Amino acid sequence: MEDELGGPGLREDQLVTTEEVDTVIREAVESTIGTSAFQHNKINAWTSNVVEGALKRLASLQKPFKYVVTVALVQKSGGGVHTASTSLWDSNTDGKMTLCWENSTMHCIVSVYWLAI
Amino acid sequence: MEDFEVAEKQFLYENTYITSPEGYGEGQKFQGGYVTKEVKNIITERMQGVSYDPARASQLGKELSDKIKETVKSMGYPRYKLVVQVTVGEKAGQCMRLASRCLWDTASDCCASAYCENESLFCVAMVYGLYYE
Repeated sequence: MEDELGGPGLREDQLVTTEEVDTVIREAVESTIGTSAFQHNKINAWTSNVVEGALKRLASLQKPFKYVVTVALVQKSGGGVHTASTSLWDSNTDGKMTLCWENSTMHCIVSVYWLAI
Repeated sequence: MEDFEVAEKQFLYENTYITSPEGYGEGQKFQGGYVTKEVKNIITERMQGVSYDPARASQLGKELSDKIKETVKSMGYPRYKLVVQVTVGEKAGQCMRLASRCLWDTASDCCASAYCENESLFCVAMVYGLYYE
């Protein structure tokens, strides 16, 4: 069948696209951290809110996918940070997106992986 | 004279009706404990005596994530999709928090993570095993 991709029954409109995820994650980050300056006592609440907000918005897309969302909030202090990832998946249906967002006092690196059920 | 092309045999797989990893046999479920131990060994070994070098750190991250993926693959979970993420950073007195959440099936999926540090750098590795129905 021409319109079936990857596993049986996953149509093109059911796949998750990078642009969709990018919009969702940006919303989640900006609504939580926005323009706040880094504050040590708020960091726990911020990371939880970003991650949970992102996951809720992704779940509301109502697509047959499992999601993994990781967020790293790093204070800007001149130290370097590197993130690497590898995956074993079905490249027709699955994917990942990493968003590096920053303001004047901190970096926020959000990675989202979506894997078809 | 006609040339006959031999058509490739089409294999049609029947439905196995197995919906959970346990249906495939004992020990087919992703064991978070064993994987955590293996991952911890890999990163501790690799980090011995390594100091932060901005040019080499990204290479170190990629090497570690490839090695971890190969090791977990060889642990024998054929029905699982794997995601491995490694974060390597320089210790510069900054505050950092790493968090993750997943939308998955709690009965069949699992994650494993390990952390290692030395005087100049730290390394966090996370492995997620997601069952492919």
